[in-house]
Amino acid sequence: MLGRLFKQTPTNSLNNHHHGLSSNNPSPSPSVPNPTNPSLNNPSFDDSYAREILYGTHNPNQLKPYQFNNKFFRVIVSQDGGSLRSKQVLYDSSLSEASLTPSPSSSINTITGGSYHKVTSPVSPIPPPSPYSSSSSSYSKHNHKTIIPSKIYHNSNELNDYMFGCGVPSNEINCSTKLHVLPSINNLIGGPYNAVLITRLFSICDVENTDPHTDISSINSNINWHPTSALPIGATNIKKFPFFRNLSSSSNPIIPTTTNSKSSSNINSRFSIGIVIPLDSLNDINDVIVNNWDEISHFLILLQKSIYKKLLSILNNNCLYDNENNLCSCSYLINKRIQFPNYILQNDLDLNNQMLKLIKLIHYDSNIPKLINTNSLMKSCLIDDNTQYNSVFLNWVLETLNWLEFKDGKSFLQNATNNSLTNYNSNSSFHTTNTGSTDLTSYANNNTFLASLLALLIPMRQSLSVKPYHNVTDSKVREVTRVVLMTGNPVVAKKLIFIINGIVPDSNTPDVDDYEVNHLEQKQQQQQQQRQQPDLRHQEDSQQHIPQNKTKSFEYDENDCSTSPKSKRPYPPPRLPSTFSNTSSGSNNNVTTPSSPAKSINPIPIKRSTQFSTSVSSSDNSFGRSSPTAKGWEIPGKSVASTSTSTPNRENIEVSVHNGSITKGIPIVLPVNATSKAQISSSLSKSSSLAYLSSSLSSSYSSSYSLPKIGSSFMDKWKNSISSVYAGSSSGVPHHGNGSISSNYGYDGDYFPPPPTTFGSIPKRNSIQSLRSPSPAIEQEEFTWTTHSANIPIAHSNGNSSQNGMGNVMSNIYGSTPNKLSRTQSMYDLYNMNNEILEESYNESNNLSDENFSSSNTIKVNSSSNSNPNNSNNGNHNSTLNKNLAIKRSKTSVYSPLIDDNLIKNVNEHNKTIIQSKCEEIMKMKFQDPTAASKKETHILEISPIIHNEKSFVDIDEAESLINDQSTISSGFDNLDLGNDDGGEGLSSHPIFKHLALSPNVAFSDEFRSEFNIQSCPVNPKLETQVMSAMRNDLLFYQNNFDYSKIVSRTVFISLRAREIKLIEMTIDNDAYHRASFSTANPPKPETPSNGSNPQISSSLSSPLGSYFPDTSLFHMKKNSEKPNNNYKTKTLKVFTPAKNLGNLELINKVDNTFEEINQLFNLQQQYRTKQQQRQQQQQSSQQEKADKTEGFHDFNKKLSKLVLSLV
Amino acid sequence: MANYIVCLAHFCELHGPSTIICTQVVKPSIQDKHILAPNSKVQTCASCELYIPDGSANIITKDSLHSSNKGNGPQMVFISNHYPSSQDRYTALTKLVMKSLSVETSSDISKPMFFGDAINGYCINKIFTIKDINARGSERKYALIVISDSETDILSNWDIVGLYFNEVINLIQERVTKTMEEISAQKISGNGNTVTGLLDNEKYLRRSMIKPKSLKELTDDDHIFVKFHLWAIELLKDILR
Repeated sequence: MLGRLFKQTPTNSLNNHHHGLSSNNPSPSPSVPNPTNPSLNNPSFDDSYAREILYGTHNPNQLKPYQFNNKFFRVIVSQDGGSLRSKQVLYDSSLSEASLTPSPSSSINTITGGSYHKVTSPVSPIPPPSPYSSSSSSYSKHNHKTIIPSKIYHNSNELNDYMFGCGVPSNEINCSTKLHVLPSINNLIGGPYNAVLITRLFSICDVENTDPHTDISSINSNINWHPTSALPIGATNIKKFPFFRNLSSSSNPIIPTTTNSKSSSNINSRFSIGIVIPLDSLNDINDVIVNNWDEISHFLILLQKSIYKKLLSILNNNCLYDNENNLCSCSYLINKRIQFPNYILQNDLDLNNQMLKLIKLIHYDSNIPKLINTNSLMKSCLIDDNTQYNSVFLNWVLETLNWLEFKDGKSFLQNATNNSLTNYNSNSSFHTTNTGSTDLTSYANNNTFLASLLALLIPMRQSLSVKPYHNVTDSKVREVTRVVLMTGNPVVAKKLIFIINGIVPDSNTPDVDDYEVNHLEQKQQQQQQQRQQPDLRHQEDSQQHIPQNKTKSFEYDENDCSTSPKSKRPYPPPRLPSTFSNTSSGSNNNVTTPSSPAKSINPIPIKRSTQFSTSVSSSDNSFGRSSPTAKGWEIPGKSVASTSTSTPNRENIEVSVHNGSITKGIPIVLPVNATSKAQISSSLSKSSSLAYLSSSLSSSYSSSYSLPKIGSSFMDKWKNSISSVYAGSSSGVPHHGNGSISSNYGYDGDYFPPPPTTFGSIPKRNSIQSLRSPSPAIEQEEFTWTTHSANIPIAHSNGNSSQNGMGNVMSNIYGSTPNKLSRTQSMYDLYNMNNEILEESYNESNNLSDENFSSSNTIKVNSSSNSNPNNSNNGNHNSTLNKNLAIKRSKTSVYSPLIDDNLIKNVNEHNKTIIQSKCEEIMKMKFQDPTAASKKETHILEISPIIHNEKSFVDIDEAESLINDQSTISSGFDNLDLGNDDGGEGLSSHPIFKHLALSPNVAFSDEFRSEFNIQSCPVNPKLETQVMSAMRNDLLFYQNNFDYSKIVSRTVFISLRAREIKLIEMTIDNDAYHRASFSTANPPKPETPSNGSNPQISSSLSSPLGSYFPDTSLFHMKKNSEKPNNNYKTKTLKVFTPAKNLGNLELINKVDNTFEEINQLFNLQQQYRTKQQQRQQQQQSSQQEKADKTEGFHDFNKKLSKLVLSLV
Repeated sequence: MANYIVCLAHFCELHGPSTIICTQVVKPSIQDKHILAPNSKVQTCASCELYIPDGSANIITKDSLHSSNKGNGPQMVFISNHYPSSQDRYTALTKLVMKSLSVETSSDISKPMFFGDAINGYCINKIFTIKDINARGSERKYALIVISDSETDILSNWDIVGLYFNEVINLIQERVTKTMEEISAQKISGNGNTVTGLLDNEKYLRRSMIKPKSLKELTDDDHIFVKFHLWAIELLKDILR
């Protein structure tokens, strides 16, 4: 065992990525590309919020990686030597492993003469634990030696039959591609496994190979049949580039004239490359094979060219030349066919590497889930008013603002409050604030990293939405664009990836149909009915408002608005004294973020006014404040009614979060008004929570940015979730001080959940994030909710009075710090407000629990808390259900039309049922025979389409020749029997769900993969080299196989740690080259970067491709027999560094301004909410205010949509 | 938009691989180019013949592509006829049918396979057999084929095409089995001894009994090709969605 390990380790580091390697590696999923650090790649290790924003589903099961058994991968190369009965295998990866004991079935050693040696296996002989065999240890070296390959692998003769076909021998010379589903093989060791065989057939011939693209396109220009391969391969034939000619010029210059004698010999031999890919299930073909077809094709092309080159070189070396007679003979040329000995390539180490590349390709492309099409979903919200995916849009905005504030250090709050202050002072309208650009200009010279990045990406996002390997047929220019983030902290990088993904249009837009909405509604209604409690009042409410929630939330109140006298005012300007801004900014300045220099220097005098801080805290921090109550890592034994109002019902999942923290928690029982103690305890609890977080994240926090980053995602979620849990379950004694944690961790104190419950915060506590918050302790279920739910009615009974008192006290103690969390929360709250407004019998106290409950239901774990009388309200918030995204998807595709994961468990079965019913309906139809009179001279039978869903009937109409007069004679053949089965009729109207391949954008890949458009990779000094190498390969690939006039490969290379954005661009301009070659007889000189005005070009070099790929001339396919254009130019440009910014300033400013406007919008909204809540506290909530809220929300939503739309 | 042709082909004992019916979807503006003229009927054997109830050469249906609740998509014309009128489509289809039925092998005919090239196009096919005592080997070999000029597009519909193939083949085979049972039941009930003797004779003198038979006859359904047309429409609508 050890010996094998030692032998393998130096052989190829790639092995380490894909194999379990040894029994002492306890990794549960060794076939995941990097088993050593599964948390980085495996999305199931992401938190559910991250999964939701990145992948569109919180359900990790949908993203669970496939378990490929690497042993069953196989590459086989065969030739058709002319015999109908047998083909010759030239290379078979399966034999490399078994070569120690040649199998009796393989007659290898006879012909090849020494070609059959033990080659170090590219694939570990130890198969990783596969789904088929739990006892992987049964594989041993001895076992392996004695296994006859044919027992594990398909017989090579069988594969040859599939690859070449059998029966009629064909004389084709063009490349052909095939996909076979192989029969499963029962072997004793690995168990049965499914597999597919992908075949690439190609010829080595000296016959002119027609270029299908030029010929066919000219012929087919008017008939609309233009065969297009996924990726074409450049023509290669030995007449155009005869191996002997090549030989004569390179290795054997003394034979110049043999070409002619041989070129007429019509050599044509067929070769095949077969790759066998094992699959868990044949249902995975779409996900693993089809969705990655472009990438597999790319691999096959490279492999084919490589093998072609090897075979030609063997042919060359085997030729014997007769100088006197100008003859050349080759022992491999028999009867005008090339006949290589068996297994002539078996020793080729390069082919072994290709095998590894294949394994990696399949692993990476299938198991790293592609990002959901955020852009499409956002647009569906913004353009089509599809509220179903509002959470995507909200999350994007919030993550963007979070990034700006905590990563880019943009001091939003101060400016925002300044702005709002002026606006409030002048009583100016919301519009003025929004459009007022006076303050915005101050940012022109202080552009943020994010704005610079987006401004750089926006112009190239179209090309970013095209796969790196994709056949773009409608353009003569091919642009390949990639975004590579180099990061030490994947958690941070994923946020940025999410933001970037939002602005990149999707190559395939999913069908956001109404279907799933309708069904979701039905389902929710059912659920609701099941949960309904005896509280009749709430039942009425819920039933009454479901449809309204569903459609457009504003409608109900718009009527009210029209009647209200104040309805013209979009946002009632809150009349806050000027000290408001001072208060908030003051507290803000107390804690400065080391990572955000912009924030640290604002000498705004701190006037802390108790009065106003109270009001601010109740509003701005409404959510943030409520959350810290949850932060208490202990279970408060003494429940205080004032804080327990928030969460009447909790799901087990959240409870488990709670418990998980409790185990580590520091029991803190504090009197509410003990300020100093509270601060201490908060710091402790925070530190413990942080430690917990950091332990769960295996990411480096060394970077100064990492902590705030984590905070933005994790802390939001955790804080919210925990807060909601605790708030409901415990007395919620406020434990946290603002500054303590920041001093410890260098955090911006604002970021942490500010001190606890104030009155106004309670209704907002139900953040969506809190409810879907994942937790490492998610499986723990020892916590029962009965005791906590029992507290709730009590809380409600006296919640108002106690909260008032408590809120004042607490806000006095901790001051108010408008923070990101509160913004996040209030955003969600704002959208929840929508629902609140719709409730006619709006009950303040019940609403709190109501919302919490409904959103907690979105987790859909256990609705075990039905004992709580308040849960009867849950049906009022159907839209919150929708916010918890669970889009049905696979690793590489999403189902279109989009559907909720919970609605259809097995899409394949669903499709099968629908198709079955459709086909059966048709089969059962009966038609009348046409009348004899109608038979005259007609040759078109027109049949009206089937109308599903109704009592579908089919008419057979008989028409005169439509070509002539279009007159249709209906013969009235109604079908008599429609097979109106009950089940069939309904189903047939349902759509089937199709795989819609997602763009190759991934959150994190532990190594750079050239197939991905957007990815983040770990810090690696070689990363940039790898990227540039991939770019050169792009140029080579497209230059050799396509006919583009210009090829551009560019990469936006982002180093998060250095805060540096680099743009690398390589270009081949064939047009310029040809122009130059026409104008001068001299070969064109390497192009130099023409952009002399750009001082930012740090390096530019021109080098022939040939220097990297010495043999390119062999494969080159330039039609005009011109010298191939091997010149490319490289531009490297540091667009953004902390010191300078060389991007398009105008665009950057525009983006920055948009961000700023969004931020202002939020701040204003928050302050407006403050006002609202104040009023609510005083129980002055009237119809009038609701109208204002609606109007304000409407306006807010409109403006926000407009702003975001300008970005995406 | 990728072009698709749905085709039913069989291996004729007289003519080799032959197309029986193919369904295309085209825009209404070019519909005329894809309709076979009345005199286009070729002399074929019964098993290769496309039988349309009123003797027409084409079956057409005008329908929109997306008939989901999102409303109607573009109006298209679905045309079924014996062979494509377009020369290139004809060439492509003929070659792919020939390969499907006589070159390509698959271990398991219960699974579809994919093949193609950039000259003719790409196809997903599935071979199935129909029992017939009058056929060589007592079974006839048919193929359901979807061909396309876009490799990527047709492959992305691999699962949908496979599901349709399964259903259609099941239905046809069930119908044929049912028909055979009915026929044998009739014969037995009519004149038991004679028929039994005849069947025995058929069994031993099968070679002399070989004769072309249309699917219409095998399924005892005069509208089987109309139904194929409708199946093809559903398939095309789903893969073009």
